[in-house]
Amino acid sequence: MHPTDDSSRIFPLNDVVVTGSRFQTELQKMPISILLIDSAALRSSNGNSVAAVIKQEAGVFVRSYGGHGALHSVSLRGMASDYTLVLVDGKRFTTYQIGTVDLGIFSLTDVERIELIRGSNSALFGADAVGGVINIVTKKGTKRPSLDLSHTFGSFGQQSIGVTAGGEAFGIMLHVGGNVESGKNNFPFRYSDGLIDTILNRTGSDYSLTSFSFSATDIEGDKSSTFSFRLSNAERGQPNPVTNQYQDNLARMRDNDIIGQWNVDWKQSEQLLVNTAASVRYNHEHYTDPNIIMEGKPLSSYYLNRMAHLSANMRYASSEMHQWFIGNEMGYGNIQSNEVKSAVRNQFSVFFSSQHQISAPIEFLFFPSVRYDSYNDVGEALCPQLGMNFGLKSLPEIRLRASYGKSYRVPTFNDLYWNVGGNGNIRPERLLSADAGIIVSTDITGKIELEANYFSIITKDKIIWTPGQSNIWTPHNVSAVSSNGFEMRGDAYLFDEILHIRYNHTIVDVIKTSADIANEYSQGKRLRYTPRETASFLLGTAFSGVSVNSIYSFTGFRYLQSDNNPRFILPSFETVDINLSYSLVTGIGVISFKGEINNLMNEEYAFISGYPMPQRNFSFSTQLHIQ
Amino acid sequence: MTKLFYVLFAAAVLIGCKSDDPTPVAADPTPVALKGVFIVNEGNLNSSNSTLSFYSFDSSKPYADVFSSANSRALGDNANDLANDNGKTYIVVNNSHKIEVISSETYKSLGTIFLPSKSPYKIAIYNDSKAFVTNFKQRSVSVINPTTFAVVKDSIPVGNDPTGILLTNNKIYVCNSGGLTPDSTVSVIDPVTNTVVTTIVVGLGPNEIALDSEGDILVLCTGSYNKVPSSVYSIRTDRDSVTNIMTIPMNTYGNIYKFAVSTKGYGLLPSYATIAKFDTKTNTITASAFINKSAYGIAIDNITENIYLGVPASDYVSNGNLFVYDKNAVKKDSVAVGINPGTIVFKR
Repeated sequence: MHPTDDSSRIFPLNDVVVTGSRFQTELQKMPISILLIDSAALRSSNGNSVAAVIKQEAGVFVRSYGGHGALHSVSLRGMASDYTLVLVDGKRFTTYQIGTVDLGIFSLTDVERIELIRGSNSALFGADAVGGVINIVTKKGTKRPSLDLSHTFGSFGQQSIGVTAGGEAFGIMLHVGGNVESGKNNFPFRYSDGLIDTILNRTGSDYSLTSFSFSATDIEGDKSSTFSFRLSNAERGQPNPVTNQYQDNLARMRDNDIIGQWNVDWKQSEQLLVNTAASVRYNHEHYTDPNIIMEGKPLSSYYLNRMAHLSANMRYASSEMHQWFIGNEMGYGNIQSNEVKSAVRNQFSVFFSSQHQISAPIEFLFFPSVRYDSYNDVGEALCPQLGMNFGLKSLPEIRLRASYGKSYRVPTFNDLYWNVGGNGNIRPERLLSADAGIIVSTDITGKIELEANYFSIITKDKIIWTPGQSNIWTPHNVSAVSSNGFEMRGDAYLFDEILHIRYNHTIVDVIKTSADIANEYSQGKRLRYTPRETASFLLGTAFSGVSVNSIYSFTGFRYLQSDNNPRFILPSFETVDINLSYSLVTGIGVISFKGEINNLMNEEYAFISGYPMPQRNFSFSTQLHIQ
Repeated sequence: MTKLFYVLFAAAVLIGCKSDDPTPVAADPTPVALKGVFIVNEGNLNSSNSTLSFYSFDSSKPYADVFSSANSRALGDNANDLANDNGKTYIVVNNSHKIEVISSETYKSLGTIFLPSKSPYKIAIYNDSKAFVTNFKQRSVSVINPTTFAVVKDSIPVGNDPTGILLTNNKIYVCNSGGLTPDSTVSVIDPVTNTVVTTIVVGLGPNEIALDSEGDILVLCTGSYNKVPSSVYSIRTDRDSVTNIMTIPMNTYGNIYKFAVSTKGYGLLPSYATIAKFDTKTNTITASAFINKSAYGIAIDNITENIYLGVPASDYVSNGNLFVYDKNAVKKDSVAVGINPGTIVFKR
């Protein structure tokens, strides 16, 4: 997990450019915490979705509603999942209808790497970049022809086949990828209510996922253009929570998703890079539950979201010491649904940020930035942020950094336009955030990186739904929440990378600070379903084609009630996952085998009450890489 | 090597400083053989956090969770109704598909009646060998034996989404609430033959049913939210025919979902902001804001005429309160109970 050090050159076009940082600077010298989860890190994890590989990282909490194919929502720094902005190749992926993205159905087959940007950053990314930003970078075309085939099978009927191919044709670098995955998912779990103690099978949680991606990159001199699109489809059961020994799970959900992007990077000179981009997303979701009868008919809800963004920006390096970044973005969003009133959102943004370096005995960088967003439906937001980073020239291994600024979350279409109770008068939530951290990196005795961050995110106008007249729930900007925490991360590759140790540890206090009414029970209490503490520890070894990783994770208890009654909690749990892989170089290519064991110790646990997680389970995959 | 040491040290810190789960506070000793009221706290749907509270008349003391205290297990998901009979207390737990039977004195479990494919909602006990339970989603009534806990008859078909149920004049009256599919009827069951003998047409959405001081049946019809106002229908039990309709103005009260009827000639209607009082002889509203409070559960003590209100917390996910008022609407007490106190039943 070591970011490619390409800071020595300004604006490399083909090497790793951290989309998330907006600047071309070593990650250690950024004002905020950015983690690159590269292909090696993806391989050392278990699971084959984006959610599965980021869940152990510091500051990250993934709520899972079951095994493979189930909903996985991602929270950063103690904030709810709709305070995480998800980007695909730097373009907004989070819809305007709900702020939450299900990363459990985003297959890794066509993912090149994941950039995890912890902390508030609306000054660069706009709405919803509050807990942080997850940027999924997809695979792009390559000059060298390559072909990858993979097959995975596992417990509970899991099957998947993936194909990716890359190469050059007509001077254009191409990539195509496809993945098909399905599973019955009738996994056993222990059910007990004091009266009955029995093993039940989860039913109605089968899933089928398909995805197809295409990307074409044309590099002509100093100009690089990429066109890409990705189709994905998920069809799956949505089982009810288990509250008794009888299960009658007939609800299903279907998602059809298309994203298309066109991106041009144009290097005008050694100092000036111009970028223009266009992106579209189409998302159709259909939910049915024959067990819920509404006005005489079984529940059948659909949500069609369409979104488009256009952006142009330029980076200018006036000298080695100063970089300037300026741009604008136009956004369009549209919803059609039988549950939400039809609505259109138009957004216009301008942003400016810069990076200034003072090199004395102390190398000092500071990053003032500001972004202005205007919406046709919810007003405006102005988000300034100041970041800094410094270290001693004589001790480049240690860097200190801090940032302070404003961020915001834009009200969702559900908040504004839900048929019953939607409130068109709510405003964007304004949040104030501060963080400070230290990062130590060295390769004296192997590659070692240690990082610790303190963060604080405060909101005083959080949107919550409360019952009004005749018990109709409507949203209002009335609640206040503070999230203060500490995250630590360590990563070490020792003895010529034979030994890999990684640990992550997060402690976060998420407290409701407002009294919304008299006799308030929840003021000063922790938010429900959010653990105070999470931790993980990876121990891995790699030696002549064989690698073994074991990953231990701890998740602290969570309160189920907003008054923090200790009788109603989800207990803490510890899981151990193991994977073993072996790669063999043959005449036709590299053949790799990987075996995974999830939940080795058979821990009984859940992230959400009534949604049991699978007990010990296995998967085996075979991959052929031809180049 | 020092740096490796730091990594291992950090790992040790990680494993060493893990926080422990909270220890549940010790529950109150179970009150035994006290008179008072049971409060059925619904909890939140699909959260299995229903509880049973008890408020003692003698000590004005609340016991937050007597079922779990006595039985060391949770009550279940979405407890909706409670009935006392012959030293036994029957608790209907809708989304756990069961009826828990406990001793009315010790609260110890005597048994559990499972209705696997049913969503039991409310119960009426006919005699030692028959009790009738409405099945909200199955458009049916099940007959159980309250002594042996056996299911006597799986299903008597009634109207849409049955809720309220009342035994009077040797007949069982069932409100077909139309909560899911609109309905406006009351089914009348002969408890001997277990068959529907007649169906009475009332207002839209009959949800609760009670007997007034004149011996008439009163049916609270919720109407339809913001479209059809709520109303109270009076039914003569000998003829099973509607004799009066009291419409509750929607612009003042909104739609009403519950009511309480005393044996002293009046009843109470909790609207979204106030408790209105109505006269069951004249069938008119006599006070629009008898108590300035909304309630989710409501009951009137026919002896003292004290009024008990179950009031949920503002967020509906924290513990609610039981408020006690005297017959002149003067507040006497308020105590914490469980989440969403919806049903209040006297135990004497």
